[in-house]
Parts: sequence; structure tokens; C-alpha cells
Amino acid sequence: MSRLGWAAAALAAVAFLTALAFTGGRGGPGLAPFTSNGLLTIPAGAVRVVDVSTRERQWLFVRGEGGWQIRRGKAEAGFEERLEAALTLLRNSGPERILTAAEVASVDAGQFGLDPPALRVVVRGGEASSFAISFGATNVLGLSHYARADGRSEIVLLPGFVAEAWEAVGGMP
Amino acid sequence: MSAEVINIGWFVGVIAALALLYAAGLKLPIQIRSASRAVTAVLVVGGAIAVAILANIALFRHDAALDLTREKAFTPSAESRAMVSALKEPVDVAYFYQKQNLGARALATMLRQLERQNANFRLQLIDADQNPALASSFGVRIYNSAVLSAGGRRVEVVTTDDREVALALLRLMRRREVVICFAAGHGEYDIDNFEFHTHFEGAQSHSHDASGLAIVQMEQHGIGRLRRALEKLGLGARKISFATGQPIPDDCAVVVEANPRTRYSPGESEMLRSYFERGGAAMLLIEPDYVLDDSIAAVLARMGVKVNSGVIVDPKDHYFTDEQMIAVSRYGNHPVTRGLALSFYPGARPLETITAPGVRVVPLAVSSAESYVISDRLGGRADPEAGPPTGRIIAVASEGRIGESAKPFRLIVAGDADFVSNSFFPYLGNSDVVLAGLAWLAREERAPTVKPPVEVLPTVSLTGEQMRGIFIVTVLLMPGLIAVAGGAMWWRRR
Repeated sequence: MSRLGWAAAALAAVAFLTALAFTGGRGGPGLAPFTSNGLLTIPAGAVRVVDVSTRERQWLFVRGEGGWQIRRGKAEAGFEERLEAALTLLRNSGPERILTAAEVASVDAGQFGLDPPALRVVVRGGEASSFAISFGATNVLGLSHYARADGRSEIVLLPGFVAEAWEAVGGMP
Repeated sequence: MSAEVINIGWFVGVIAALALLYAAGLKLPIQIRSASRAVTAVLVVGGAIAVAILANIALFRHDAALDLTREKAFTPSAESRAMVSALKEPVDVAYFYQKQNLGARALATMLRQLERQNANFRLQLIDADQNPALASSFGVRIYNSAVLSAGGRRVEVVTTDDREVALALLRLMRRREVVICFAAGHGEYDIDNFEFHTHFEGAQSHSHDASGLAIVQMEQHGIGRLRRALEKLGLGARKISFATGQPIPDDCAVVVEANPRTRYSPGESEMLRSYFERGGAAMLLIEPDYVLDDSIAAVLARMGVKVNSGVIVDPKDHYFTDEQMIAVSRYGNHPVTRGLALSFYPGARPLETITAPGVRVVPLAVSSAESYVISDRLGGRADPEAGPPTGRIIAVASEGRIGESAKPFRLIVAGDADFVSNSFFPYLGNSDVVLAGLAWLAREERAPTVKPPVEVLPTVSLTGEQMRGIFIVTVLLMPGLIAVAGGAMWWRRR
């Protein structure tokens, strides 16, 4: 091969290596960006009214110009932060498992503790958007709660800390 | 014929039948004279669909399940199949699993296969998330729990491994409580000790033989792994001491004396002899450097066993490069040795069988015909006690009566205790040897051979001979052939 030929081959090799060095499927370092996969579709900041009820107590929170105010029920100091945390968890923490309507229909649905629910949360945002969810019994391990969002036929298993955050909204954390 | 061959047979048979039908369809006229083309086409399509459904039903009903994974991840182990096949009474098995768990789903598949094998294995697969109330009624508080019940007895095991279910089945079927008593008081290996890395560190290398004795790192170790295996099998394990002067308890199904370090008193030997007279069973594991006192030697002699001194060296069958770590792949004909694979004995002393009235003695493990004995671990081939090379007995089983009115005893003696220790118990067939021996001593030799899985890193273990073979092929033969071929080519072109 002539000198020119060798030089061309070497250039081709470098070009090949350069192309490989700047391409490829492996991305840069770092974690994948976080995405919310909770059931609450209304952004936490857009929520205006929250209605929380257990079998014994009920609270109604409204967000005004000066922040969250309580309109019904009694809440201990610091409820604003607890409410914001509960909303964030409901929006960010997705279900651990979804039992389809067919799976639910094949068993006694009473065992999920959703009729009546142990805890119910109704959230309203702007422009008449609303979301409601009922929390029931815990799973076998006692670490997750059965829950059902209004308008959806499936039952989900939500991490225990989501329901616990809502249980703590009225009282001390 | 194995179940897999039968399954493949069904599968091939159905495929062959379908191929035949296809070929026949090409050969035979499909136009029905008295019917229109449309009717004929409908009949042909309907017939094809019916045949396809028939073929699927045929395969389903004949359990044609082919597991093509390398690990046989969806096939029950041979031990589990044997356990389920042997079931004589109904056993209800409720497996509360989580469908998202791949391992649990694989076990569910395997349990289904076992269910089809024996109608006495009555299975319920329950999604624990979908049925929390049912799980609660069974007292299940964790995912992947198998609850086995029969005749008012109940065993629960949390697992995704079919062998664990088989072990639970074994525990459920056991009618009596079997207790293995471990002798203590003479510095024996401790059943509460789970340390497992006992070895000698030499100046240049790491070894288990005498070559590293100049610099020794001796970590405390025990036989906790054996104890855990026994408990998984549903056997009890506890310590007993001869030093208390109390006779060996009658509820000890087997007494294990693993590596005593201090000598027996005549009273203790008498206690052991009396235990054998009452129909006892024992496993004695005696290391090379242990000096037996005359009283215990006399008891063993009455049972046809003599424990000789020295250490066996086997230049042919040994583990890795250590000639004192005897590897045994051929065993004596005995219920203990049925189906055993390669086992190894790090530093073993030779035993001898002697004639004893009313006693039958069988050698269990013997070294190769090239082995010889040295008086101590540091000795060499020129040792005066070496004698001519011949097979040396490493372990024996003895049974019979030691008196007219005595009950039948059972005894296993091994000239090594390390092979049972945490360091060596899980490797190769060592655990099989110990567990099979204890099963025979506990008079459960007819029980299916199932052993608890022991967690160890996957390793490839080779004997010295196999390593030599690999060395010859890869280091000498293959490069040599290339060199010879190169030389021949050079000579031809010269």
C-alpha cells in the first residue's frame, strides 16, 4: 500500500474512533430525572381545598391569600406543613401494585376495608378540577394500604407513609 | 424413564401428529363433491381449528412442560418430586405469594407441576395482596409463605425455593421428634459456632495442610452450619455432656462426638458403651492428632472398629493440590453412601475393621490404592510408618449387638472431623455424607434424600488428577502442538 493509502487508512481509523467516542447508548453520569407517578393529577401548588375525614373526625382546609386555613375541625400547630407534605406524597408516590377490576371482582372486596373507608381525602383545585381517594385496610405485611380513587374501578396498594401522612394532618406528626 | 423424556415424547408425538395431518391435507382432496366451495372452506377451516384445539388440550392433559432454562428454573428438583410422589396421605398446601415476585411465580409453576404428580398434594395458590383476609385467617404475615397442613399438623415456610417446600413436607410427615445430641465437654466443635474460615496461612501461600504450619492463623470454628441444616430438616439439636455422670438421655436419637480434644475417662467410655447396649446410635469424628484412651478404644473394638494413628496421604485422589485432603468418589455399598458425589476429608487418619461377634462393619469411604500413611502432618514419603501404598479406610459404619440381651446399635466412625465443620460442610458432597449418615443412624434411611440448600458461592472443584489433566492439555499439549505445527511449516517452506 502507498504512503497516501496508509495515511488515509489511519485517518479513517481515527475518524472511526472519534465517532465511537462521541456516540453510543450509554448516557452521562447521574440519576434519572424524577417524575411524579402518584394518583393525584392536580399539582400540589394548585390545590385550593382539601377535605379529610376519618370514621371519627373531619377537617376542611382552604388555601387563601395568607396560606392554608382550617374551616372545619381542629388541627394542631404546624398543620400547614403536614398538609403540604401529604399532598406532595399523594402526587409523587405511585402505587406499589394495582389490582385490576377483574382481580377485585374475583374476591370478596370487603376485605380491603374500603366500604366504608378508614380515611377519605377529597382535593379540589382550580377550574373545578377535583380528586378523591379512599384508604382502607393494610396489606399482609402491614406496610401498604389498599386505596381506591373515585371514578376508577381498580384498587391500588399505596405505600404506608402516604396514608400515615394524611392521618397526621390534623394532629401532631 | 425421566419425566422430562416423557414430556419431550408427548411434545414430539403431538407435533408429529400435526405434521402428518398437514401432509395428509396436501395429499388428500379437500373438495367435497356434494357441498359448495364456501361450505368446504368453512369445514376445512373449522376442522383445522378443532385439530389445533385438540393438540393443545392433548399437550395440556399430558403435562408436556419443557423447561429450556439452563438452571431449570421452572422445574421442581428431583428431591421435591420424590417427596411428593411418596405422599401417602393428603397434604394441603396454601402458597400465599406476590404475583409481582418472579421467584414466587416460578415456585407457583413448580408447585402446579407437583400437584399434577400426586393427588395427595392439594394445592391452593393465593395472591396475598388480593386475599388479605384469607392470608390473615391462615396467620400469614409475610409474602411467599407456604402453609402445609395434614392431620391437624401444620408447618409454615417462607420461600421461593421448591426444596424448602419439600423440607417442610418432610417435617410435616415426621411423626416423632428426632433429637441429635452433640457431645460437649471435651473441647468438641461447637454447634453454636458459625465461623467457617479455618486455615493455615503459610509464608507464601494459603493452605489447609501442614505446609503452612510455620506461620499459623487458627480461627475458632464450629459446626453451626450442620446444626442449621438439621433444624431445617425438622430435627432437634442439643448439647449433652458426659462429664455430669448422668447416662446419655434416651431421647437422643443420635449422639455426635465431633472432634474431642481431651481424653475420655473410663467412666465416660462406660457411659457410651451402656448407651450402645440400650440400642443407641452415634457418629464419632476423630481427628488424626487425638489420642484415644484404652477404655474408648476397647468400646470401639467391641463394635468392630480400630482407630489407627497417622495421617493419610493420597497422591492420586485429593482435593486441589493438597495430598492430605483426601477426595473420595467411590464408596462402600451401604445405605449411607447411596448416590453420593465427590466428598473430601482434610487430614484424615486411617481406620481398620476388626472382627467382632454379632457386629457387621462396612467401610464407607476409602482412599485410592496409591495412598500411604505418615506419622504426623509434617512427615514425608520416607516416613518409617508409611508402609506399602494401599487404600486406607477413612470412615466405617457398624451395626449389630454388643451382647446377648443388648438392643441393636448403630455407629459411624470417621478418621476426620473437619469435613463436617463450617469450613468444609457445604462443599461438594460433604453435607450429603453427614446428613445421610445421621439419617441412617436415626433409622430414617428410607426417608427421601432431601437436604437443605446451603448458601455458598458457586465454585468449580477439581481433584488433583483432574487439575493435572487440565495442566497437561492447556499448558503442554495445546501450545506444544502449535509449536510443532509451526516447526513443520517452517521445515516445509525452508
